Amino acid sequence: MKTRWWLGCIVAVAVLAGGLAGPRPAAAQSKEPLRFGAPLALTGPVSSFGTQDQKALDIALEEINKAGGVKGRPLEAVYVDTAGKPDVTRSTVERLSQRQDILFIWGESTSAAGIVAAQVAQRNKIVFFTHVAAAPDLTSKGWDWVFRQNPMTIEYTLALYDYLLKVVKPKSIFSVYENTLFGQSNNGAMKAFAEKNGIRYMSEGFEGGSQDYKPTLIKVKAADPDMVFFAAYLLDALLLTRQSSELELKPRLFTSAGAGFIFPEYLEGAGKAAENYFSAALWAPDLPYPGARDFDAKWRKANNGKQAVYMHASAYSSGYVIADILKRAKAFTREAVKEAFAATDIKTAYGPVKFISYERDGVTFRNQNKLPTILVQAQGGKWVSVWPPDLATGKPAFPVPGLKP
Amino acid sequence: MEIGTYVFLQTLISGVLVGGIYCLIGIGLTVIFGVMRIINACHGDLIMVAMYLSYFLFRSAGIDPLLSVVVTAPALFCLGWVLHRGFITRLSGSYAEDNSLLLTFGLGLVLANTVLVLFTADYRVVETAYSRAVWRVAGLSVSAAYVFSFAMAILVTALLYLFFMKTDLGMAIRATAQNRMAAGLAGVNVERVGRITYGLGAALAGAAGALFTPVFYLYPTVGSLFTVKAFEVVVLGGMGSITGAIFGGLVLGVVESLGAVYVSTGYKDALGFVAFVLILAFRPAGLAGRSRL
Amino acid sequence: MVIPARTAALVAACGVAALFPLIFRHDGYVLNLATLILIYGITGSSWNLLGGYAGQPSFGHAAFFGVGAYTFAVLFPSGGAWTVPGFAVGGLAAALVALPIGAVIFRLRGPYFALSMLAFAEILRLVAQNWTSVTKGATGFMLTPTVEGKVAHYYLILGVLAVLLGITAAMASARPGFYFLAIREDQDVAEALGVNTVGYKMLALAISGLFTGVAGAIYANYFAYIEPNVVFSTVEISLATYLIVVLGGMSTLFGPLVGSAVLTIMGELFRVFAGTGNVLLYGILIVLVVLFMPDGVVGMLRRLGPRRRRVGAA
Repeated sequence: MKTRWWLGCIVAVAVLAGGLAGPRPAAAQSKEPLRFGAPLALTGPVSSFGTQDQKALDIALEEINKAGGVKGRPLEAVYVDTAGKPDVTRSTVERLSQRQDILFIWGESTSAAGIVAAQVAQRNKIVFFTHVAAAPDLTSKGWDWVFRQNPMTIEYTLALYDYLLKVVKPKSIFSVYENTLFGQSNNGAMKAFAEKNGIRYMSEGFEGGSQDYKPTLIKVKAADPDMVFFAAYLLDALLLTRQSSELELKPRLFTSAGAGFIFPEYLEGAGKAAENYFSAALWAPDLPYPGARDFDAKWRKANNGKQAVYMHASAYSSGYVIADILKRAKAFTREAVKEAFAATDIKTAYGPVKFISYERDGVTFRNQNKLPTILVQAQGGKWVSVWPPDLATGKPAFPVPGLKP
Repeated sequence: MEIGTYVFLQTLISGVLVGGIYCLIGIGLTVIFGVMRIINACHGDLIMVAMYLSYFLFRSAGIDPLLSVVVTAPALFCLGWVLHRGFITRLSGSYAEDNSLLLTFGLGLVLANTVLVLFTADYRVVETAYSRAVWRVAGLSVSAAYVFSFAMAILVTALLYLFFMKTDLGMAIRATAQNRMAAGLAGVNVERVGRITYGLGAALAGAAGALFTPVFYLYPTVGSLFTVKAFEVVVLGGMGSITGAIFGGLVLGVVESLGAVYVSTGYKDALGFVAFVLILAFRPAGLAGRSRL
Repeated sequence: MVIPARTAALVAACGVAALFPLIFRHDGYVLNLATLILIYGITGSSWNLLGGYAGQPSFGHAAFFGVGAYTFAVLFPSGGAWTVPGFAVGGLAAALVALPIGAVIFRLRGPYFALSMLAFAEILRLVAQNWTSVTKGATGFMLTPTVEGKVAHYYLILGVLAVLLGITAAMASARPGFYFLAIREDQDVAEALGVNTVGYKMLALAISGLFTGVAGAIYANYFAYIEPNVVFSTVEISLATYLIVVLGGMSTLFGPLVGSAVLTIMGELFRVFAGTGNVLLYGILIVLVVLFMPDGVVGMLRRLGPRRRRVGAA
C-alpha cells in the first residue's frame, strides 16, 4: 500500500516535469532561416482574421524567399495560435522570447492580444511589430520596442469626418456599435467629433452575436437621425443592414467604421440593402501605391476572386517591410533589428511606411506609421473610393437616392 | 401612426416573434428537465448540430430547411440517445447531480469543437425565398420567417400535449416525472423512459435547429447563445412545464425587446439574467406556476 | 524514526515551491506558467471552500474574480509596492458583493444555485462592459504592476496562497468545518439538528468570494491589463475553476492546487500540440474527469494510500 503512494507522487511529478520540458523546442536548431515569432488567432471567434493574415504574409514571404531571401537566407514566420486570447498571447510571447533564434515578434489579431504582446515584448526587450492591431494604447505608452504599421481606431474615420464637415453637414448622428474594443473606441471617437462640432449625438452599444437588432433599430428610427453610424464585425454588419432595410429606416446616409463592412462577403450577403452605404477604409486596391493592384490580383487568384481588404494588404506589405529591415540590420540581433525598424522609410503596396512620433488630440504616439484613411461607398455591389478627392477614383452619390434628402 | 405608438407596437411585435424562437429552444430543455432533473447544458449545441445538418442538406440536395425537420429531428433523437446511454448514465460518485451540469457542459464543448475542427469557424448562411420576406401590417414590419418559427412552436406544443396525454409512452413519461420510484413500482421501465426523454428533448432541439437555419447565421459556437436563452425560458416558465416554456419564451422575448428600446441595448441580456435569478429565488415554480408536465 | 510518507511528500513539495523561482529565475516562460498555476490555485482553493467543503458548487465565481480585478484596477492603477494591501481591498469588494448575492439565492440548492451564480457573473460582466466611464469597457484597463519582476510576483502570490490554505485548514478542523460537512451531506438534517445552515452558507460564500476577489486583484496586477470578457469569463474562469477542483479533488486541501497545475500544463500542451483542436481536447478532458475521476487526483491518491477513517476533510 505504501509503495503505491510513492508511485502516485512520482507519476504526478513526472507529468509536471514532462509538461514543463515538453512545449519548449529542442536546443539544437538550424541557424539557417531568419525567424520571427507570429502569434495570431487561428482558432476562436476571430480566426478568419488570423488565417487570412497568415495567408497574405505567406504570399509575401514566398515571393521574397524565391528572390533569394535576405542575404541569402530565407525568412520564416513561426506561427502560433493564440485564439486572440490575451492569456495565451502572454505565454506565447514569453515562450518565443526565450528562443534565441527569434529576432522579433509580428502579430496579433485582436487589440487586446496586441496590447499584451506589446507589454511582454517591451519587458523582454524584443521588438513587437503589428500590422493590424488598432487600439491607440499600443503606441501611446512610449514603448520603444513596439512598432505599428497601420492606422489607429481614432484615425479610421478621419476621411469620413472630413466628408461630413465639408459636404454632408449632419445635424444628428446615431451610432450603433458593438461592445468590443473596436466598437467602443470608434464610438468614442465619433462622439468626440460630434461634440466638437455641435452635432446631436445618440448611441447604443450591443453584444455581438445577438441575432436580433430590431428593437435597437426601432429606437434609431424613432430618433430620426441624419446619419446612422455602425461599428460591427461581419455577422452583425449583415444583420444590421438587413434589419434596417426591413424596418425601412431612412436617415440621410448610412456610414460604418470599416471592419465587418469592408469584407467582400458583406456586399455579397447584404445585396441591395447595402447599396450606397459609406464606410471608412484603410486601403483600397485602386490607391496610388506601388503594387496595390498587383497584390489585389494575386489575392483574388488565391481566394476565389474575392477582393483584397486592408488587413490582407497590410499583412502582405509587412512582409516586405520585414525584408527591408533585415537587409539594413547591422547584425541579426534584437538590438540591431530594433535600430533598423526605427530607421524604416519604404513605400509598399499598403502605403508608405515610416515609424515616427506625432501628436493627436493631445496624446503623443511613438513608432507609429502615419497613413491617410479613405472613405468608400458601395456602388453597384462594389466598394469605390470616393473621398478625399486626391485619392478617390469615383464620385460619392449624395444625397442618396431613396433616403431622406 | 404616431411615433410613440409605432415604437411600442413594433417593439412588441419584434419581442413576440423572437419569443417564439425562444419557446422552441426552451421546449426541449424543459422536457428533459421535467423528467430527469438533468440540466442539459449542451442543449444549444444540439441545436447547432441540427443547423449544420440542415445546412448541408440544403447545400447538397437543395432540401428546404423547413422540410429538413423530417431528417434532423430523428437524427438528433439518435444523437441524444447515444449521449445519454454513453455518458450521462455513467454519472456516479458523490457529486452526481451537480456534476451533470459540468458533464453536459463538457459534452457541449466537445460537440461545438468537433464541428469547428471538421468545418472551420467560417460563418455559413442559408438564403431561401422567405429568409428576408417581410410582411407589412398597418405600417409595421413583420418578419415572415420568424412567424413560421412561432407557428411551429405552437404546433409542436400541441403535438407534445397530445403525446403526453393520449399515448401510453407519454403517460409513462409523465408518471416518471411525477414520482420516479412510484412509476418504477407501477411497472414503468424508468431507465428506458429516461433515455427516450433525452432523445425526445434532443429531437425537439433538432426541429428547432432546422427552423433556425433560414434565419440565423451558423457557426460552431452559436450553441452557447441558445443554451443561455433556453435556461432563461425554462426557469421563467417553470421547469418541466411545456406551456410554461411558451409563456417563458414570450415573456423573455418581450422583456428583452422592450428593455433594449426603453432602457438600453447594452444591458438587454442582463434583464433576462435578472429575471432568471429573481424567479429562481422567489417563485421557483416559474411564472406559469406549475413544475410538472 | 519513521517519517510518514505523506508528511515527507508535503515537505518536499513546499521546498520545491519555495525554491522554484530561484532555480528558474532566467526562464520567463516557466515562471509565467508557475505563477498562473498559483493564481488559479488560489481561485480553486477559494471555490473549494464553498463548493467542496460546504457542498455548494458554483458556476459563476468569475463574478468575484472580476469584481476583485476591477476594484483593484480602478483604485490602484499606478502601482507601487504600497498597493499590495490593495489585493485585500479587491477581496473585500468581492465579499461585499457576495453578501447580497447570497441573500437572494441562499435558498437554492445544487444546480440551481450553480446557474444563478452564472447569471450573476454574466450580469456583472455586462455592467463592466457598459459602464465605460469607470471600467473603460471593452477597451480594457491597463495598469502598472505593484512590483517589477516575475520572481517578486511569484513570492507575493505564493504568500497569499499559503495564507488561504492555512485558513482553510484551520476552518476545516474547527467548528465551521464540521458544520460545512453537515450542510454538504444533508442540508435538511443539519437544519433539523440546529445548525444555522443559512449563516454558515453565507460564511462560506463570503470567504470564498473574498479570496476569489483577491485572486482577481492579483491577476489584474500581474497581467497589468484586464477586460470584461477575460476576468468575467464563464468558460475561462468559472468553468475552469470548477474543473480544477473536480480534477484535483473536491474538499481536499491540496486538491485545487494539484488540479491547477495539471490543468494549466495540459492546457499549454494542448495549445502547442493540438492547434485548432485544443478546446476539443479540453472538452474531452472535462467529460473524462467527471465520469472517471469524480473524486479527483488527490481523491484517487487517497484511496491508494493507507486506509484511514475520514473525519471531515483534509
